[in-house]
Amino acid sequence: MIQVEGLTKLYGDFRAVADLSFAVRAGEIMGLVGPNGAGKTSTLRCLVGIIPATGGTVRIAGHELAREPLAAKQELAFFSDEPRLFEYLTVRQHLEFTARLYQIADGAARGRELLAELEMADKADLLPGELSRGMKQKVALACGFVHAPRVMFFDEPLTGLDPLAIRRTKDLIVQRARAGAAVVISSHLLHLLEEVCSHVLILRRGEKVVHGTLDEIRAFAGDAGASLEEIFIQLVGADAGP
Amino acid sequence: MNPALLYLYTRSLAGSLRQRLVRLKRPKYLFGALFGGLYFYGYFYRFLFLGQKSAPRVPIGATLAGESVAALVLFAAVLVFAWIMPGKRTALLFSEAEIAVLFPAPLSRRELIRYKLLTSQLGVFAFAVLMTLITGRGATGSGWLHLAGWWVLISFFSLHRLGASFALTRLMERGMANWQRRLALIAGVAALAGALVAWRQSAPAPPALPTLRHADELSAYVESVLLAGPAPWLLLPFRVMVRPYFAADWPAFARALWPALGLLVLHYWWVVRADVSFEEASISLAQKRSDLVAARQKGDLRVKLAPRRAKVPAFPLRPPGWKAMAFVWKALLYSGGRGTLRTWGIVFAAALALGAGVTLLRPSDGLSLTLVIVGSSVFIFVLFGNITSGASYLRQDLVAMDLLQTLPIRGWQVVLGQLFTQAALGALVQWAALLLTVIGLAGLPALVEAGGSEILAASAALALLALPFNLAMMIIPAGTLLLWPGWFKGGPQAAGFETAGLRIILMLGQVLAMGGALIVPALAAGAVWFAALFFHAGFWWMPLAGAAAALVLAGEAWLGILALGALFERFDVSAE
Repeated sequence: MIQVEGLTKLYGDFRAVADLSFAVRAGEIMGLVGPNGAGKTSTLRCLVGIIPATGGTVRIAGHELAREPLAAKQELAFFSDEPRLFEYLTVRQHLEFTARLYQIADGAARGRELLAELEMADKADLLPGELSRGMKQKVALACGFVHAPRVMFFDEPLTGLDPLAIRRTKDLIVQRARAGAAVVISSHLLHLLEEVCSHVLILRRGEKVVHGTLDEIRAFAGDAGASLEEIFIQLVGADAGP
Repeated sequence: MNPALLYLYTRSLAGSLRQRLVRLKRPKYLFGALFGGLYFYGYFYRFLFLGQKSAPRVPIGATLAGESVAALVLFAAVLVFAWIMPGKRTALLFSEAEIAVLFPAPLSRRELIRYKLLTSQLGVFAFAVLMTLITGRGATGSGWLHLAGWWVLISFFSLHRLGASFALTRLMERGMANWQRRLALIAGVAALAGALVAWRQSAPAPPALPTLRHADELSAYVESVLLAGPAPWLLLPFRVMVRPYFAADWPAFARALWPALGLLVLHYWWVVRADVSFEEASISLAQKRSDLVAARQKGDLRVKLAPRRAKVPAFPLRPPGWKAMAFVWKALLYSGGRGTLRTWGIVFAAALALGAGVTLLRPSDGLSLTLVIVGSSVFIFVLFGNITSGASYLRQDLVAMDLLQTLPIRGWQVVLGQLFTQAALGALVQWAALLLTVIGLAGLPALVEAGGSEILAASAALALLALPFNLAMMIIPAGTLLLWPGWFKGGPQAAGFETAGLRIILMLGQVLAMGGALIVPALAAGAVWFAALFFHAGFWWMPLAGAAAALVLAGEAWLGILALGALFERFDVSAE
């Protein structure tokens, strides 16, 4: 569902991502981890088409992002670390806008379902300024799900959420993957990734250190009983901050 | 236009308007809106759009070969700001929400550019209104014509600037090396120089200087110069764009508008057809803007945010000692630390030494007058600057209020440490400025003969007053901030009639309070003056009166600091 070959991103002379290749199949959840400055955000932004890659190809659900950006973007949803909402649109208007953007015929009905699912039905006419951070996150999730994307990218999805919201978000991600979506999660919360991800890709200074299932990564690290945190420290310890 | 983007734009606009109306339910915004509306109506709207409808329209600049000069100015602005000094890369101003939602959405670059052009129209219109208000007071005739003329000009300029930045970015993307850009620039400059030579040869000789004093002759000469050589061709598109602004009535405006609209459409086509990567630069711009808005809300009034560098403290802070000194130390660090203090010290010492040296060795009225003007201007500037900075410094502390309230220190000590430092720094600058003024005055013999001693006595009085006056006056805006912090909110929501009206009310209230605070010190100074008259004390009453007023002001400042301290301790961040 997601195919990345030789992805490279340069900022002037600085190489943020170097020759990165991997694939995520339908139903898989891939965790993208790395120390600060490893190139996770640049990778995500290139994968969702927020910034153009300097080199390499990205295919989303069979569409090459550089050649068919609209078809590729139609299949994906991106959830940024902060729920960025439009200040003057109500929750309902956010959903209507998203449905129009992605040309979803039954967008209104789907929006209502999503709001009910996320226990936000009674907040439909509120503006973002009247919502808590957790509620804003739910609105962002609802907007992302409204066009039933086959590919999803999450950047630090659990930042600032309470335990209940964390649990709900994790369940939603897993649910969507089980329904056939390919998911990429970038996060520093290694226990979360260990819990929900089928695959992990560790980045260091823009380069892939290892990519595979958790068992494959443990085998790569030479410690079958190690946790992801222990493997991470072992592989990129020198780069990881305090 | 993509229907979804149109939906976003119209709904956001409606939402913003609704929010504004809803907040009018709160009395402070209602009063603010009424006051702001009346102020703008009285000061601008009535004057511009209703007052002189019948008068023939004479826009500003119309007397000085208006159209030609305006075309030349527009040409120069376009050349400099669009081509010679453009931004580093093309950046369209998107909000962070727009970037997060629209960039990964199935939208083409062209659709995003169209959307930005549409949303920028609100800004273009607001700027056109502002320019109309600024230039309209010196003009006559219909204000709506002014507005329409400015809209055409600003739209043209912003579209051209965007198109030029797209073109330059595309050249960079295609790998145009620096040497190639420089070569192109040199070729451009050479072509311009050639055009200037051709122009000079065909332009009429300038008339004698005295004749240029007559506006009509100067205007005729400028017109003839701008119609000579290649100038008419070079300025033709710019003439087309400025012509609607100079239209005398609506029929003339309509006739001038068609060619200008044609050029605008061409520019629009040029811009929307550009397939240039603007995403990275736009993300960076959005981040900078968001940081700037956040900084403004904290009270940081810098125009451009640059990463702060660590400063060397003005003095070492040791654990034992008076707790308020920690805030003095912090405030000095905020003001630039030892390095900035030293630099300013050197600047003032050098200015004083130079002024004194030149005045004593080679007196000249011109130089002395310059010293007086510079010195007194700095004095007055610092006087007003200090009053407004009081609230600004305290506002920065409000951000960390919950932390400050947990510290084992009384509120008045926090306030004293913070405000006293700013007041004292201001007073230091004022004393140096006063000294500079006195040196300048000493170089004016006529003035010295008329009342040199009085000047010295008055300066001494001002010097005595500077510190307590600064402190007492800073307390009033600082107190207003602690009493009504919500009125000081910055960011996008702090716009509109209602907030402008609020600010005017707030300003008037503060001016009244300051006036009230000065009554008792003025009475004290008056009492000294009467006593001096009674005892025939000569001009020495001035420093004595200054000292009396300074003492009363210091007392008021002390009471104010205690009151502010109490407010600081009781301040509830969650209430606003």
